[in-house]
Amino acid sequence: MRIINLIGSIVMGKFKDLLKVSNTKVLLLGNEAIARGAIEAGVGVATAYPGTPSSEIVESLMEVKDELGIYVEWSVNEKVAFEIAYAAAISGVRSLVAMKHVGLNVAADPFMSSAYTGVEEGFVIVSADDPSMWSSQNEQDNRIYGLHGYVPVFETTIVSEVKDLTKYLFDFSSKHKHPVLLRSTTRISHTRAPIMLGEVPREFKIKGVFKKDIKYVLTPANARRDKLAMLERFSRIRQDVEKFPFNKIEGSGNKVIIAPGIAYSYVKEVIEEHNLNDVIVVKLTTIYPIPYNMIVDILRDVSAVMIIEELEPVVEYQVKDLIVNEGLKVKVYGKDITGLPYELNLNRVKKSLGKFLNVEINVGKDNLGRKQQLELPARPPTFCPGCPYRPLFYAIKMFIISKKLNAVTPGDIGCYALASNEPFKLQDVVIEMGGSLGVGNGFSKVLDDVVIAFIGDSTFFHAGIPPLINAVFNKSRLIAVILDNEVTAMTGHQPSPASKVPGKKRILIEDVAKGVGVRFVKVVDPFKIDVVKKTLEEAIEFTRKENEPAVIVVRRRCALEAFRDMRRAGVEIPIHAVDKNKCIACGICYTWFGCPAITPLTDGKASIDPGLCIGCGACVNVCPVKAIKPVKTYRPEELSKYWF
Amino acid sequence: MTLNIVVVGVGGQGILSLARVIGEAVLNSSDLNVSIAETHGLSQRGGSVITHIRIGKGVFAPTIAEGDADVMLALELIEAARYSSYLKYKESIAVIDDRLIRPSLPKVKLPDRDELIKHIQDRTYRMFILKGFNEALKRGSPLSANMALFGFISSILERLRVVKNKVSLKIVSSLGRSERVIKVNKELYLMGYEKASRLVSSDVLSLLKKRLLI
Repeated sequence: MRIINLIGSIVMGKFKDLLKVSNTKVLLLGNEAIARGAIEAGVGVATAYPGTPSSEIVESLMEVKDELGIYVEWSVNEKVAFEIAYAAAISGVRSLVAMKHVGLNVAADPFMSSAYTGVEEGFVIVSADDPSMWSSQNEQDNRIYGLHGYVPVFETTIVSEVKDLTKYLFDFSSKHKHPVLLRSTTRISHTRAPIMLGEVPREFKIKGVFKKDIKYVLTPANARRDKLAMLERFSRIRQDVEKFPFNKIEGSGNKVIIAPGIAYSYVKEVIEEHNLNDVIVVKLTTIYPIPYNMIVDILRDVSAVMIIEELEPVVEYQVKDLIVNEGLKVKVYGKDITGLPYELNLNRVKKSLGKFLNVEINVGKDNLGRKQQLELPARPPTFCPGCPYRPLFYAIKMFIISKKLNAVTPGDIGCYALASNEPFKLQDVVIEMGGSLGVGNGFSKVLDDVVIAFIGDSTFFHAGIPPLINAVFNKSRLIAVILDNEVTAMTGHQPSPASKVPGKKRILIEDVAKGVGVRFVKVVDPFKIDVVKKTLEEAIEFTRKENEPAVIVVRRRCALEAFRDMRRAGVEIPIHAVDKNKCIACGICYTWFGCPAITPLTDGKASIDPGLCIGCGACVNVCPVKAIKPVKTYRPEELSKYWF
Repeated sequence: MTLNIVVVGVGGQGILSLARVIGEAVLNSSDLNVSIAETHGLSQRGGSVITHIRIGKGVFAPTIAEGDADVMLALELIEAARYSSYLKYKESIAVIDDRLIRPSLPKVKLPDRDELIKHIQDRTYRMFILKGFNEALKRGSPLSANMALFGFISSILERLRVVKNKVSLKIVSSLGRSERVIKVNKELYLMGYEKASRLVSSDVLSLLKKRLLI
């Protein structure tokens, strides 16, 4: 996209172009605003492992790293990303680490310890949580990590404030020499809102000094001392959040609503729209610790308080604790009315407020149930046209069916998790990054079935290597199918160690497998369906005979990347079409292959949607009568350099 | 009060881009606030997608409540019907591209096109059907279909004094990798813009205008 200057405004500006701009309102994604806040605060080091909804934070910083001269990296996993940013912060360099909520589970070890040692310069840990699980395996509330680890937790209450909050938190962390947790959610990270840009510093401090100190050595004796120092720092933080500029008390009345984080945006809207004047609203940015004295003062003279917050009752527990401590006579409502699961929405908040304030509030004119709803087919996400994973799962499915194989197929986190849907159903257990191989180890010990575990390249490097070593060491009869599309595709094509990136060293998965002692290692092209089947047969044979793991690396680039490169190079790729005279209406292509571009006609014959076909040609080998052909002749071999 | 627009379709059709250009057009044409709540990641891969756009003096909540959308812009018919519960019953409009994409599930039973259209018509004050996809495909750029919807809503928002056509056109010219795609985008935009200028009557405008008043 090109930048356009209208009088005094920037339209469709790229993040990079905005570096030269200040004192202007632009439309930024919440994650871009967090990145901008870090820049305005003078961040020197930023790291992450990609994960929705956190990815665009470090992606944006990556875009500008050379121009600003700061260090930004996609690390191999969240633990390593955390440790790198931590090292910067204890050396006096401002740093940020970003991850999705479940990523903090992986980084939990250094997270806990970082609060014990403290830091030298601003250290902002961003956790982007996913209430309602739009793109995640759970909706854990990472604010609880703050309570667990003595790390103060902050949430923006309005999307348009998140840039300034991020900037402020760097100073806050520097002042207290303590890490801080900025918790975002999908609705903050992935909402675009007008953001007023501030100044970009002229210089960034990227080199520091590490002052050696035994406080960084958490042997028991030192850790015991650190614990006391940490508690002292934390009590100063408790004092400091009493006057936090992003907290606010609004309105007056005999009842109080405490609205932490994005819940405030919903509450504020309902209060304004329905002119609910007789109530106090606390806009709460400091989630843990809460501003104790401020809340005590508010609750002293009121009859009831309601905490409206998303997911777990993190603030509610703290308020109840405070009420008991202070012997206040105030009735508390919260999760008993709002409910625990999923994200908030306006209707839910309207109903909760209506109950609490005893007022009638119209909820949206929902027409559900008003008339018979149409029966609509589900539309689960699916592999893109051209995806190399579709022919792979097709080949394996056909193999399992034809051999009447008893197979159990643990899966993992990535695009290939979509093979859990029809027609493949080849992801039997998907729980966490690297889980396919760990769970596969276990299955091979307790089941007689053939165990085929699927894991992608980025996930393999993230958490798949230790369980593969375990399979070699403990002799697990496991077939690891490692899908190498040379990129972290699902989260938006961030590089993985399998990517060919200028200036980085590519690591071949087959070398890793051989290096840790796997004796059966084969690399296959998923478009060659017969080769995939034959290799799988050999692997089954090997694991049965030798009682040890086999690795099949399935290599072909993500189609979105391959086709992007072809388009950039001006390569014309003809789409494909079905020869209706040849088609025998067997239905294999639209039933078992499942490409969105192939649809059945009323007579059962296949047809290819010209608006969806991208011309990958993967379906050509699927048709038993060779009825699928390109609409123009071309030489597929000439395109292979884009695919590998 | 806010004007609530949901943009729906199938992941990959250009839904996020459409939402973003509308937001940019509003922010750069008027003093109103705008917020766009997107869905990324997993659901983007050919799945059902909804994006929430809110326009008004004070916009706080990022998402639109079910039953509270004033406008639906749909790039696909099944998804239009699926999210029809978001529409304000009989007090909203739907602008739909006449495109039906079969969910790639085996043995899926497809609903009838006319039934889908009737379903949405029954729930709206007025419904408009565009042929953006067909026109875009004819011109060799099927992903330009979203520009017809952009043109259509730009015309409506221009008459509500929320968007300037000049700004929208500049945005259109900034999209697309090749001159060819930029040209198709512009043609589709103008097609939608002209269609709205002809078909959207003043009663529809006053219905929407109410929502922008404090």
